[in-house]
Amino acid sequence: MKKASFLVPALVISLLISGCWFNPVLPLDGAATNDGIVIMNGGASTISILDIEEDTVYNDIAATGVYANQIRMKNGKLYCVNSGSSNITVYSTSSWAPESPISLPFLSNPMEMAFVNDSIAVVSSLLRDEIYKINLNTKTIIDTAAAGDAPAPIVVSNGKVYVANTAYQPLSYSYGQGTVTVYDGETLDSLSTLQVGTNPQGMAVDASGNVHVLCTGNYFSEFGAVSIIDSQNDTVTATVNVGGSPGSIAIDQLTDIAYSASWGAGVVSYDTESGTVLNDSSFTKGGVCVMVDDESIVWIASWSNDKVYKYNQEGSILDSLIAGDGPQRLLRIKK
Amino acid sequence: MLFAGFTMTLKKILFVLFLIISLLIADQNVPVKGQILDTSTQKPVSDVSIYFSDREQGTVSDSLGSFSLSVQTKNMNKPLIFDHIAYRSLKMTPDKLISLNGERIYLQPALLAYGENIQVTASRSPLSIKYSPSAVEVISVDDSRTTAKLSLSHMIDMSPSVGIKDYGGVSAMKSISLRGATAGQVLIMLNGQRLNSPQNGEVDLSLIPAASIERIEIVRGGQSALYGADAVGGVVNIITQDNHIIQDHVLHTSFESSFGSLATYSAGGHLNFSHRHFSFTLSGSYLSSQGNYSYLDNWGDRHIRENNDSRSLQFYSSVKYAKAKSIYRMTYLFNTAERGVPGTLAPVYLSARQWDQRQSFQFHTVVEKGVHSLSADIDYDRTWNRYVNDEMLVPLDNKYLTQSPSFGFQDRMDFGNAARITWGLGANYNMQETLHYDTTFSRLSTHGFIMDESKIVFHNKASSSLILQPALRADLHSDYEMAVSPQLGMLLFPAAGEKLSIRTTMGQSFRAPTFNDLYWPRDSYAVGNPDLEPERGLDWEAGMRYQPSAETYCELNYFYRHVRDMIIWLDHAGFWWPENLDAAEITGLESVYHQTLGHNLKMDMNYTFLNSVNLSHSESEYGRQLPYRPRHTMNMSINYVLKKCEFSYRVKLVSKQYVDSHNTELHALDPYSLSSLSASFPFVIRNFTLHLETGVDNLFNTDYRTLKDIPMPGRIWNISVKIDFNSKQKEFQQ
Repeated sequence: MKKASFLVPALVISLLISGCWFNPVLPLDGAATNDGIVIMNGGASTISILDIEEDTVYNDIAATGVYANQIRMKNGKLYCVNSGSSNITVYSTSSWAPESPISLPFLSNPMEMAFVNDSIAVVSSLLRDEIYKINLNTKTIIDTAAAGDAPAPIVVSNGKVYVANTAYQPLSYSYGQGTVTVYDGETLDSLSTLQVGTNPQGMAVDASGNVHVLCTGNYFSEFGAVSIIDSQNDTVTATVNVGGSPGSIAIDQLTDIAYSASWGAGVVSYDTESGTVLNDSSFTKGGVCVMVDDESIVWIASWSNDKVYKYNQEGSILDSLIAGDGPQRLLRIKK
Repeated sequence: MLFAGFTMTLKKILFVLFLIISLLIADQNVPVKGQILDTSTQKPVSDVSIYFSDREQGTVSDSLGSFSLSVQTKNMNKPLIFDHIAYRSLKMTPDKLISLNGERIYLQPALLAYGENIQVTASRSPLSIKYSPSAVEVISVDDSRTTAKLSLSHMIDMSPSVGIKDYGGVSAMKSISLRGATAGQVLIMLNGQRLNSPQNGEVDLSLIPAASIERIEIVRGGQSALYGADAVGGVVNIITQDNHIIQDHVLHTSFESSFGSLATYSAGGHLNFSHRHFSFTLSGSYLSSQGNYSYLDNWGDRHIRENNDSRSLQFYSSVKYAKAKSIYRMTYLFNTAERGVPGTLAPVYLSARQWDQRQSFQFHTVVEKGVHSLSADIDYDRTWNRYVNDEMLVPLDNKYLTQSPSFGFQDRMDFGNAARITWGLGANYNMQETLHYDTTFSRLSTHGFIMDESKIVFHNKASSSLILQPALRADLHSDYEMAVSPQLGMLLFPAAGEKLSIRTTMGQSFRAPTFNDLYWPRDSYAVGNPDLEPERGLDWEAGMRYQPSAETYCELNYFYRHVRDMIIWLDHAGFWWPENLDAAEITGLESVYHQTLGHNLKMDMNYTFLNSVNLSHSESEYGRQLPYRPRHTMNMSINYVLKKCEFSYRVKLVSKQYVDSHNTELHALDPYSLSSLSASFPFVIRNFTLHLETGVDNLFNTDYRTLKDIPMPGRIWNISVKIDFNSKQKEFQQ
């Protein structure tokens, strides 16, 4: 009897050790489409796909690096810039399988990337005050150029690279003079430096090639404004006061309307031609990211409740979908 | 005539006197006294019942094992019985007892039934587990085993419902989770002195010196009715080595050293000296580890985890004076450590360093008088911490100093089965200096509590009995609202013999907002919230214990906890502050099984099922499993003794764990099983004993993690040696 009482639990243990109860179960959230919206979930460090036709989100289909900051698409590949892990993770949009990442210098804290052409990209490094020219085929850095103070947003327009320098002063938690450095897209030679508002956190290019620089402000006494740069002669031609502390900007090139989103406040839109503010912040819910698709639908990512909201141009809500933890960036992709 | 009458009267008087004197001589009492010690540990044994078989006379040994009895001369040849539940009974006549010069009696430990282990935490006074309505585990540290290589987390991680979050490596930070409660919701104490940091509420288990630990008591479930703040998930009370008081002077010394994987070596020594009523203990140890190890990253590539070295130095001393019914004891503990902090897989920090220092002083006294057992404690705890990291966006050089003096008084009144009332008052002052910001925060807490233990024996056919344990505590704090914590425990023995017991406990508990929660200075990323209220927990548990014999023990527990007003740091577009927001519900089952076969083979196993549900306000998190709470955890150990050589095998199985509140499958930690093997060989050479011990942890080189993006080392081996010197005893042993 004593032996039996000893052997039974020992048998149970043996079964457990053999893994019968402890095999990992990883049910991925279904097959994902490659025609929809890519959601970068900052909290979960994952990628989700929103199927526009089915109004369905396939959550957490791939893992990003640490502190993912931006996503970009080129030639059927998704690129995710990871500040914490100082790399760019690469995914095939047909299978969403991760490829080998692009390694960047240790503690470079990359913030954003932009494509110069099909095989060349540029990346901003917040901590090293540099930008890197990347060969996307070899996944290597082929050139480095000095940037301004704490560069973050980066776009390409008219063959030139525009990098916004936030001038963040980490020791005093303050911001210096915001600037935009303009580089030759081929040689990375610095062409000019322009003064913009405080704390430029976002950039977008309108249909005319003008660069809209979203300056968030210092969160306390200076508020949101957009500096518009004419990319023909690289001068700041206008400033639009959007208010709040917006962190994301998107431009609908069909309607020439720009949208700037503030967390906890709302979305403000303005005419990119005239610079006229079209609505107050009650237009839609606020969010950490705003994106406009090719049907002029406005999509907003809300980190606080893990939702992605769908609005029409009039500001009427069409749908809301649950994303992964902390949706932070949205990107329209097509087959 | 007159003279004749006087003579008659005188004769009568003389006769009466003769009778009286004869009676007095016949019933003359002889004082019999002595001290009772444990044969193996040579520690005093208290609460030994000493009586004659007819129960006409008897007494009980005190906390020093001492007793005295006034024995009638007619009883000097009757056997006196020495009886204690944990020891084999001894019979000895008072005549023989007096013939022993030292008047010292040694009792041999019986095969101790599991439930009869004595603990002090669940009732604030000595009580066997068997009579505790709470779920209790006592982990004793074998004196003969080497301890310099052991960590506190290593000692407790096989206990039911205990989980350890390990940041990787020998001396990396380790924190506890108990019944699904976070590290800040588990109260950690050192001899009853609180160790939870007022800064962040947690305790780094890797900084608790293992060499001085005698036993660890783990009380599972909310215990705020006895201990106030932070005891939401339970209490872990670390009891340091008590001094061995023996009347003649005795010197006991030991030295130990170990070396093993990760270029780790340690050395330590222990000294215990006692003379009459005084005793003195001093122990110290040094540990150094190069710490680097190989691991697989998230992409399957192998790397070396660098900047993982550590060095630590620990001292413990204790002075004790014990006489009759009073004890005075002073302890001092010091430890200092320096270590690299490599961070996660990304970002990795190659030069970040951390320094920690702790000093704890405690004065403890117990005086027994009549039904009263009065005790008082004066404690002082000081921690200093520095973290340097120049690889971040904002280079850090953070320095923190915390100081916590406290005072406690307790009176236990023992009225037998009718009532054992314990009440107490205390005050605790916490101060934190954030040296790099030049800010100081402080909190004064005062408390009062009362607890009763009553035993009701039913005069029914089964002679069943019921123990009731109501308790109530009120805590007043200078910087957040008062907390009142009631608790009621009940324990039913359905039948005589007390082999089976059914128990239940219900109560409320709370976790204090930390200084970080309340006062984090406003910077670019975060700010504290001074309006926070404590987290509240409502507990209910029920269970049964069954011990048909000393060899077999089973325990089954069900527990339920609802936590509300959870303090959650919320991210508002990159700016964080804490709020009382979410709620959670945790239910679980624990089963414990011990089996001994003969004198050679012993098996312990326990299994915990945990269902932790997030009741968050967030639609995407509601109903999900809480992070880092595995549903299934199982521990098993087998010990086999062959001619004093001991072999043990331990295995721990942990199911999948989510690492975020969304239960993101991609990042969930894989289930794992960890095995370890150890063997110890004692050699007796003249008047010293040499213990040789070797062991392998993570025997099958499993790649596993207990935290996201923190890789754990693979197989680790260790060899240690301990030399034990002890002065010879010429005493009577059974």
